[in-house]
Amino acid sequence: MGDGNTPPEIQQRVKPVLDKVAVEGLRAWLKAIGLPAPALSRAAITDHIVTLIVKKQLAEDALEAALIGFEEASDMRIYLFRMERHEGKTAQNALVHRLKQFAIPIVTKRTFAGKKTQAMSPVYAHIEGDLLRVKWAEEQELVRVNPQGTGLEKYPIQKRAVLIADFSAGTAELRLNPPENVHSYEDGSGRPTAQAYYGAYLQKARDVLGCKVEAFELRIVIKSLVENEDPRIVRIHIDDHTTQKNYKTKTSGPRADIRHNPDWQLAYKKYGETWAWDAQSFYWLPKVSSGFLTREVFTHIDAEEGFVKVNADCSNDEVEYVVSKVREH
Amino acid sequence: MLSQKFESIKRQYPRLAPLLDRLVAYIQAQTEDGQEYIIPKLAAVALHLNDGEAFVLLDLLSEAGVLRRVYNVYCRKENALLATVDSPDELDEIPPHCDFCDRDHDLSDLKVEIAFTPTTDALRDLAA
Repeated sequence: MGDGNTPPEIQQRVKPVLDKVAVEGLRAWLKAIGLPAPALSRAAITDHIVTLIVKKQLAEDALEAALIGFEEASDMRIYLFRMERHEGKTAQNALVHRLKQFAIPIVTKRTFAGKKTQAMSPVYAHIEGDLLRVKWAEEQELVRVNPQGTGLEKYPIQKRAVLIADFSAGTAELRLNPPENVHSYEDGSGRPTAQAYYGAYLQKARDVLGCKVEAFELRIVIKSLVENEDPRIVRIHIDDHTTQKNYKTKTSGPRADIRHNPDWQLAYKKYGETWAWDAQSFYWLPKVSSGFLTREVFTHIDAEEGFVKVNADCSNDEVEYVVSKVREH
Repeated sequence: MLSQKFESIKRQYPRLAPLLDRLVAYIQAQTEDGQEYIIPKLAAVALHLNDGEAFVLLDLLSEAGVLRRVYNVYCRKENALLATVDSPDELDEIPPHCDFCDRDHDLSDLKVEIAFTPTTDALRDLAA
């Protein structure tokens, strides 16, 4: 991250970035890499991390990599794809050509997005063998009426989009922060819409990948997660499905799994095989994650619109776990 | 026995004939059950296909004149069916007021789902 090894110098360097990450996310990451992670306030966790760096228990480079990971994983809508396999030198040369065409700088080390004002500003492309990672960033605006109702309040907000592709496995994912209400992506009538924003990045991702991509089917993932019983790897809080008679049924549970609800069980036993699984919100359970998770990680799968959503303080490792499990099911 | 249109589409795609037979049996069962619309995602579950495959098969029957493609417009919040139109052009003409929310909706508050409904000829054949 920089020079100077005194605690105040380290603090000055890491604090602005640490301030952007939720304390619980930092604690989960510290636990995952085997470091102490006591329950602390924001100020205290920053001091704690500075102390770990001073004592050389934590390398500043590792912290930077983790924080870039948080930036590229938190509060993301994730679209998953299958694609044709493109391996070898020719495919890589073509990829490099496309990246240059789109003015995306190819780097050897991933970086923070920094402040980007223009829509779809390229941050970097990182190629490692058959793995590609591309990051874009931009500034959008949250505009709302002030509490007095006399004017508008405007807040500039940074957004990131990350494309991750494995050309040998034939898989890709596009992660996007949800949009604010003012941005540069418009529908046919000239209004900025979320759909236009997601659509523009999905098209850009397809252009960068340069091959046929196919959306990953998510209904079967939900079906499989529901059927998964021994042991359960998720705790399902909200189930949203459509019956064969086209009734939409939503079940929301307390902290318990909806599969504990006798009414739901009864209906599932009799008709579950015929339900179209539309969406579910659930937590991945750490005790059956083979050590990958140190806390419960929230995920929402929307099979109707074809995306997975994770919450605002996830590390890259946590999101990689989520994506790998979704693909596995 | 379904209409000649259906037999013709089966002759055109012989490898799909068994799947089309199963699909028509499903359509028949849904129609007898009082279901007005054949929803691709529900047909997919019933026939153990994915949504895309079910949609393509239903669309084939639509091209053959056995089914008619329609657009169901739902209130995204309440998931209530607000209107059914025959073409995307008509989507702009849907009154914006939603009784369930008691307010005018923006386009972003609405969800459009493609569905299929048996044509009059097909309904007669299915009932026979």
